[in-house]
Amino acid sequence: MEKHSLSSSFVPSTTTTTIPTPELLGEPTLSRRKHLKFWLRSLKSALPNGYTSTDLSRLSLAFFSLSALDLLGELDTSTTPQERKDWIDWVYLCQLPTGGFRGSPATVGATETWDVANLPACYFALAGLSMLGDDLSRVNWTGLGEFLVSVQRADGGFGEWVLKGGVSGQEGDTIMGGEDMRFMYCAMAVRWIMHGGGKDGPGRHLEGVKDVDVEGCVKFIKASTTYDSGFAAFPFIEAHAGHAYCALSALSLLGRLHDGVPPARTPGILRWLVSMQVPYVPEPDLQEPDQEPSKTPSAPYTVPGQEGYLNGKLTGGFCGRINKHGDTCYSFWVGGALDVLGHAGLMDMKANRWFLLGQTQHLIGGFGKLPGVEYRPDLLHSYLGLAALSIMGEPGLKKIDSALCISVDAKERIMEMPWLKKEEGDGVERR
Amino acid sequence: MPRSQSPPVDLPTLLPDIHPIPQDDGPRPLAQIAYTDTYTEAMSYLRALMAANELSERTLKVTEYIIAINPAHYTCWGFRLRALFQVAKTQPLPDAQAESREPAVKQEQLAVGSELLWLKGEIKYLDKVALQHEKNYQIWHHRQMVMDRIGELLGERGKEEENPRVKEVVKCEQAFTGRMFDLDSKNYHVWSYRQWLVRRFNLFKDPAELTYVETLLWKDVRNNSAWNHRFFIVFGSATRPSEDVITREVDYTQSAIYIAPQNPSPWNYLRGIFAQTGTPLSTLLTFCLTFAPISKPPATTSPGESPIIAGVGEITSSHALDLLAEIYAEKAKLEGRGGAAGGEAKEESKLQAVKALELLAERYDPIRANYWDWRKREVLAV
Ligand SMILES: [Zn+2]
Repeated sequence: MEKHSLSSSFVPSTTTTTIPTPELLGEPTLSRRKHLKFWLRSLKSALPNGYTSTDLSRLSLAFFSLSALDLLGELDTSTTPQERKDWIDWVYLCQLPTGGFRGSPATVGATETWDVANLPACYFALAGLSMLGDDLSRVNWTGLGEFLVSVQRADGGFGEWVLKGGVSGQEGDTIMGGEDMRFMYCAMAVRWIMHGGGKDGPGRHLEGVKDVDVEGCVKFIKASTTYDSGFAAFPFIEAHAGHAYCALSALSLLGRLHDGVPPARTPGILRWLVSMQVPYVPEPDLQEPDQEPSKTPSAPYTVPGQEGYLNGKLTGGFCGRINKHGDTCYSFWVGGALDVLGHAGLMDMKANRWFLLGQTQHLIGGFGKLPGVEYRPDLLHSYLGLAALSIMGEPGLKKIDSALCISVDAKERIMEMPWLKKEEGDGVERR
Repeated sequence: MPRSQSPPVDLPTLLPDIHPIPQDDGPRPLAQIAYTDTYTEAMSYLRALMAANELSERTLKVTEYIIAINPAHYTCWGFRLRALFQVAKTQPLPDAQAESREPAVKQEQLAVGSELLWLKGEIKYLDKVALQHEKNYQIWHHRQMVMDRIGELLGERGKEEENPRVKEVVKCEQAFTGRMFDLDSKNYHVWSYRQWLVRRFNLFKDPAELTYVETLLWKDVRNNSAWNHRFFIVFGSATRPSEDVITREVDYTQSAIYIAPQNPSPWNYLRGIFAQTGTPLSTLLTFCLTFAPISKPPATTSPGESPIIAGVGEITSSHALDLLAEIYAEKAKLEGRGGAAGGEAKEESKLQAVKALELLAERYDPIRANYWDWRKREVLAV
């Protein structure tokens, strides 16, 4: 290894850009009106054709729009009862007769082998329906339970969908989709809505509904802990903040957080999570040996070149993996994971807030992935930007339940469902 | 933005006997997308082909057409896979004789040769699609299933190391993933696939894996994905690494830290090795003090500077401070168990841990001040 090999992003270029810091510009604010316009547009008119690659997961886009308006406290006021009723019908159009939800009606008519339930879609459908005020009475719970069981692998992890008859069509069913903690998360969120999590087990509230292998889930999540105390998509792959959020939330929804994260491991996991935050002022004296000494933190804030800026250095936001760039969505993945652990207070909220509101909040509403007007807002980053702010108690936003990634209001609405409603003195432990 | 690079296929001409099934989106859909006419038409034909469960070369064409527009269409990939395996088994190719490489060609070998040719053709196609859609993951899941079948056709499972034909195919896969890493050396999907390859064909002992990791780290010592792959190669197999290997790993990691002390990746790797081997972190005390000489007597104090900062030598790594704090906190815990005699030593160790944590919070890593303060409270509670 040679010194010159130390990452080109550290080499100062000749031009310098002055980046406004919170100290220089004062507190940025949430442009509520613009966000509202952005979300109403995404809900009520067709999305641009650039979204075609999400055609098979339109329920996720619907979820972002509905939940964003809910966080803004405008879902019931900016939409009509008729619209909400029609949207509920559309979500049920995505339900398969055998149970479970497709990501969109795009495969309807393709017969039962190719028109199948999709695990993430099941969560987005249930969450979306309850936000729209539906009582979930048209959900095929037995079929949904069977689908969940069928999409769990022997190692405890989950796939995305099931290919009936296997690849040849003449063998046993094959679970399709890579090993991925996101699927684990979606399965646990669906399970929570079905059973309320905790230790009361299957069938207590929904008679005859099958349950997944819970011990297998916990085992898979534990095995996906990495050598640097993060969590990965599956055992031995690199630690990743999105998967860490999914792993911790899944444990929490199972009521097994303290099992998956014993006290001895807590400082390590917290270290990994907070290490994702990118400083927004140059750190003193810690430049690499071949670097110019930096300015002290209190000096006017200049960094070399636009590249250095967009390389994720010095933004105050969060990145998703060690030595990567800051990106809007990781403010939620990391913030949510910390919140699930009861440690949201360990973030530098001022810096994070500055990153979101002062840098990635877009002129037309929504949030871009990275700072700069050229990064146009997309639904995922725009939703997660709001969600991240809600964790930090942003005025004008409803409080979020980090593990379910919906507002506390929406969660409470689900908890009012007859099968989840707590009876006096039933002694059942729920999250 | 998906690029419309569909091969020019005229669907009504290709599928004159198929009646397209239009999409029913209900009266008021959510998350409607302004599809292009091309996509709308192609999807209608796909639904109809799926409904007919047609496993043919036509299906390969149509699925390729759709994937070029929407590579995330997962059942389209599944449909393609089933059609591919069916076609590969039943449609002999003229070149199959060459592929089977046996002088006395038996009918059976011809069939295997033909199937292999089809599957290798698919891998070539996947090369192209992967380069066009770097962020897509369905491609890699599909590739995995095709490669698994190729492996089965080439020889017995578990005996891959001795099979030259398997070795050749594996080499091609290592080369292609390398090409992907030239574009983005941290591509998560490609690393996942590479790990699958290592497990499937037992490449833990293949020197090419470690050499490749070192090439990447030579280019960028901060490439955490490469560090992670290194950990997987060394510690991910069923066999425990030898003492020599452990020593080699510690030496390699420490030299990487000397080059870039503020790079978190090797520090994490070092912790990983120690945890795996059950070695106490305290053996790293001297190493850490090289980068964070917190016990040095005060040099000069500039006016206005916090006394805590004035009392130390030159700090070149916040990660060394972090590890020092942990080592001293651990020491304090042990000393605390030593009864009255350990009392004084315990207080001294606590003091050192607190000092390291305060340096981090106040000066060397203030963005994480809340975390360092939390750690400090934990230490003081000992
Ligand atoms: Zn992102």
